[in-house]
Amino acid sequence: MKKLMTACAACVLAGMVSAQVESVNIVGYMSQTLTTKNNMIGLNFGAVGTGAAIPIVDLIPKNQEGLNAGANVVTGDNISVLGDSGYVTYFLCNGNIGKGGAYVAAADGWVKGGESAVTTDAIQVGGAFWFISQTAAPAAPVTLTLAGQVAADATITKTIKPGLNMIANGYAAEIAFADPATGLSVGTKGANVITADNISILAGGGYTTYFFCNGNIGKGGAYVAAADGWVKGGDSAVTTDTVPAGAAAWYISRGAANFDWVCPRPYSL
Amino acid sequence: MKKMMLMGLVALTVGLVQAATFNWGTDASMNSQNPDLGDVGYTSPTVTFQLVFFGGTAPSVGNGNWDITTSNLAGSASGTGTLVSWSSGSYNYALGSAFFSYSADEAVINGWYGVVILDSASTGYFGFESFQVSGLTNTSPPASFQLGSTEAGEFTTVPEPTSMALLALGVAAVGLRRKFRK
Repeated sequence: MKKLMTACAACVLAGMVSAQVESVNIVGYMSQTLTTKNNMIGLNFGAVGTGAAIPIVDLIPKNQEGLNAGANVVTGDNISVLGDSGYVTYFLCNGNIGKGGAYVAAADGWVKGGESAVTTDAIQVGGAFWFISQTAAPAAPVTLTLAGQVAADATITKTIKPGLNMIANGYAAEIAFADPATGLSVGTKGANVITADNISILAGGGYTTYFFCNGNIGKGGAYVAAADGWVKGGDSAVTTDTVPAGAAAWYISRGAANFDWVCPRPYSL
Repeated sequence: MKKMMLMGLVALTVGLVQAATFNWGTDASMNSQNPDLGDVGYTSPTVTFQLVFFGGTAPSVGNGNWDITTSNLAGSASGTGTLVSWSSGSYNYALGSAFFSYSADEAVINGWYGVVILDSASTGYFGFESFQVSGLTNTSPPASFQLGSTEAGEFTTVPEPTSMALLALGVAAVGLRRKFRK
């Protein structure tokens, strides 16, 4: 009997240890203070439990304080996701989109433009989107809280296409993009912002642009080792600037073909 | 030469993917020519919308400015606008309201647009709404335009040639009848 109980206890303990090892899903949240109408947001959460793409309705619940619900895209807050043929826009609907403005319960929440029911669309971890607040202003900031499962994969891969790409760090950490360890060092280099790949970060209503410099910005195009990497427009040395956690940026690729940005996880679990 | 061609190809490829977007919507599309009193004036579910680009000049469109045989601008508006293909955007009409999204490169997207509203319930009439897009760049968030309602069937279209022929035939018949009465 004693032997049986010991065996049972061992099994229970083993089960607990095993449960601890399997339980690596970290659920978190991130708050961003919005002071402007147009905000570029980076998604560093996945769906709780699976880490897969997170439904918009779960990512930003409709009843968050400071959000604006309305009957159309002009009065309700917007989420706009860039696709292959332009943006797909969702608006926070108050449900009043029936005939004569009648309330439709099925449309009370995030609705895709042109549709009449709450969307089931989701955004992938590492995805980027515009969040358009109808009321956020310096004098009336809005706190946007995103919640979900923290990315646990060893790397996150995003395909960069020729031209404009909206990018974001899929991990809940700021990204020092000039550091080759972030993986943003496989694009097209050049001597200026026109020929090289660009990264543009929105801040204060305008963009700060960096270019992937080949270092040839010395006198007569001489090579300057200190400028071999991501350089802020107007500067002459590789930047130490970062894209904050939860922010998004534009990547302008000058190459003719796609390439993968493989971003390693910057923290240990 | 090879290098130049390659650079040209790169520039072309880049140009194809860059896009600025605007959304246009209407909360309710009405039909003044064929009001459905039991349905708060909503048009039939067969309403269609056509986007027309007018460039830098504000459009002025009225009676006789839409040709239903060619589905294009006619009369004084002829030649001032270009029909835009929906392949560059999405379009939806439901519950009496419409929404569409249109994308193009920043070099060509800004300017005046018109939306032609056609309803099979009021053949021979069309509605028209215009708006201006300005300052939109490829890195701008989408711009959105929203109307409370539109008045479909406000203007008369150019009649079909067959209708014109029938009309001419009718006039001729009346003329002949009068002649023979004398």
